[in-house]
Amino acid sequence: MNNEPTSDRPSPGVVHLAHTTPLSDAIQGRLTGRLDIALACEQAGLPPSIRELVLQTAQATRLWRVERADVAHELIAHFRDGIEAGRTPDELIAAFGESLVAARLIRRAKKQSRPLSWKLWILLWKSIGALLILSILLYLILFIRYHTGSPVVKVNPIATLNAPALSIPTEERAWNRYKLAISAYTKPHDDLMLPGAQWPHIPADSPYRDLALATLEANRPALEHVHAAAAMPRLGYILSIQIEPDSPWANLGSEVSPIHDPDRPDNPPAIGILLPSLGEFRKFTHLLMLDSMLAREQHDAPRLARNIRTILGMAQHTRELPFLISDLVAIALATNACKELQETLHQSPDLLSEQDLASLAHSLAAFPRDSDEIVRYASEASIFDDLLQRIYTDDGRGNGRVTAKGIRLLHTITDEPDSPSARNMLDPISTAMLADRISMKREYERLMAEAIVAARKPLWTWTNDPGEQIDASVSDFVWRQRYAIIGSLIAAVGKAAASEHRYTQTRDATLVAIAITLSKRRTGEYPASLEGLVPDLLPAIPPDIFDGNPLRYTLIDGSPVIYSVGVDRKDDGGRSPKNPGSLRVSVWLSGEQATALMASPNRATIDGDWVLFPPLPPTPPTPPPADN
Amino acid sequence: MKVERELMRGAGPVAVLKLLERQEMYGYELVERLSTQSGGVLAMGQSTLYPMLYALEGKGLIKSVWRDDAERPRRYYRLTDKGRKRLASDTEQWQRVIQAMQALGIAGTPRAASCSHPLAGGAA
Repeated sequence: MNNEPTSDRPSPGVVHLAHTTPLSDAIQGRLTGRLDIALACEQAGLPPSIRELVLQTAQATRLWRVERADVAHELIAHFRDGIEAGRTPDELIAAFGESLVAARLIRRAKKQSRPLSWKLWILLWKSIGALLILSILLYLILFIRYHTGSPVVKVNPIATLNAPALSIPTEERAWNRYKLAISAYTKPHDDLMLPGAQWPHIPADSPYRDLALATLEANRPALEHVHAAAAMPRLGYILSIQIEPDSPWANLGSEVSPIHDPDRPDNPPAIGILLPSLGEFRKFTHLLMLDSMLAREQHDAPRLARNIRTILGMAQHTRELPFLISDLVAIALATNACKELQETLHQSPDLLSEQDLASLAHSLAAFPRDSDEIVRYASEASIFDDLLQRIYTDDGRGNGRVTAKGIRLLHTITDEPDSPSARNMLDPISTAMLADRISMKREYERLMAEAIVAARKPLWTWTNDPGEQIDASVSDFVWRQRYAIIGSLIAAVGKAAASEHRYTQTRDATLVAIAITLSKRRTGEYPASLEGLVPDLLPAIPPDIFDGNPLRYTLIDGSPVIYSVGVDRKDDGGRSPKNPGSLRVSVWLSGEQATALMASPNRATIDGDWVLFPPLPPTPPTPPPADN
Repeated sequence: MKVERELMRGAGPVAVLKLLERQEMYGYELVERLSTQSGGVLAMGQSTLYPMLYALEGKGLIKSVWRDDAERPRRYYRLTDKGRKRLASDTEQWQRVIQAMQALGIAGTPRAASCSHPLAGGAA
């Protein structure tokens, strides 16, 4: 047997050598061709059967080329040793065993010897693969879960809210009279809305005066309807999510797109309720304020008293719409009634009769007539509950999961355009982070309850804004993902409560102003203090909302000044800050914040007292809340 | 007589380590020495031996190097320090197993002739 290495193949070319030379050899400048196993077998002079076995085994390992070559060279050496030892090829092949088994075992062992970096790389890809498969499975579960649920809407909130109004006979509904007023309303000239015009209190020497008077005259018929409507006990406004064709706002139809629940055309979501009446009441109030100014100029006491009563009547009617925004508008209207009374007591203290003053004081003190809180938050929870029933499934035990239909409705509410398919695909994932129904409800109730309890406390006991906890939660990223539905719907309790407290202070100061005016009529001079007015003209001296002490009263040059110490909590003897029109002196800040502001260059805005009477010169009106 | 595969799985690696304790060897040499020195008991096919060698190398118990013997490239294997420690540990365990087998009457008292057997675990 010839054991000398031989080869029938021609010598490989340089290109082939280069292709079959490991990089490590090439770096050393050697073209070894070591990766050409077939050539190595031939050159070793192995018999064909063994050559085939070596090639088959090496190929079957499916290792890297370098590793395969390494194994092949070792097997070649092994079989050459065997042949040199006098074994026949058949004996050697038999002793070798199963080539495929060998290949499998060699592959497993060789891979163990590979570098750590490779092992980590493979581990990384395996992990990615596993993660990908797991993610796809998870997504499928979420997708099925998301698309198989359906909301169960048990409550028709608009029907429930409308029941009291529908029980009022048509002829007793003030709203029908207001509609006549709205139809007869003539919009003021645009120039009157300019800040410089000081609408609605246009002074006699103003260049806008004629325009204002023309507007007022054009609206006299409308105002008559308003007076008649405001004198009626019940509003009877039927809540709806759309502008009816026969409504006075039909021209707004193009601007307002109703929020429907496509599956329940007869049970629309409460969040879609439109309240255009709120803006209308504000418009009429402004006209009545302008007319009151004229009534003062013309010493027309009955007209003036009627106007103020009508404003208070509209404020009362506004509260029949049981929403937070309605209560805030009612506060704004009642504040305007206070303003008119104060202007009258300041400019024409003898104009209104004692009977009128007493009657108006009672009306003011009795507002709101329903004896409920001035700002109510219950309806906010009803709107939230209604939204939950449309977004979540209902397991009958108060819990449920988010549904695709619910999220589509939510997109409609938030004015988002039709969802692109990509986002639809992501919805099952993004909504998976949302809290379940019961957790969502509990979190909402917890935040609202804490904030409301804090808001109901007297302002002087506040150490921080009642809505601070809500703000902190809403600004937290993780919280926003879990309670996204709450974030956009939770009421600004802190701001609403501050508005309520500012209103009560204004109302109390107005009642005190009426009391000192009546006192002067009886004694010939303003009282030196308020104590003597109790209980004949005042049931009690109201508190200063900023420190809880009795509301401040003093006489400056014989004229009465009613004031609160203001946000700096410092009694400045009735001196206004430099820019009283900014009203920053009446806006609550914590003690620390106020101290910091007093130590800053901006201290002038709060350094002084909040003078409640006499009234400040009129300032341009702010946009009505209903327009927000 | 060859031993069962399960027994071989435990005995094979320690036998290979033992053979490499004194000198380095190449694959075919290891095959022959295993067969002759164990009286054929620990003879193993190369389809088992080479994967075992690669596995031992992967664990760092042995190390290989290519050498040219008379223009014949051969891959030689030698024991590493880690391999020596493993061999010492395995030898001790095997001795305990043999003693237990003797105590149970499964293994007889070794004849004096086999005391010098390189794979008996005693002094070489």
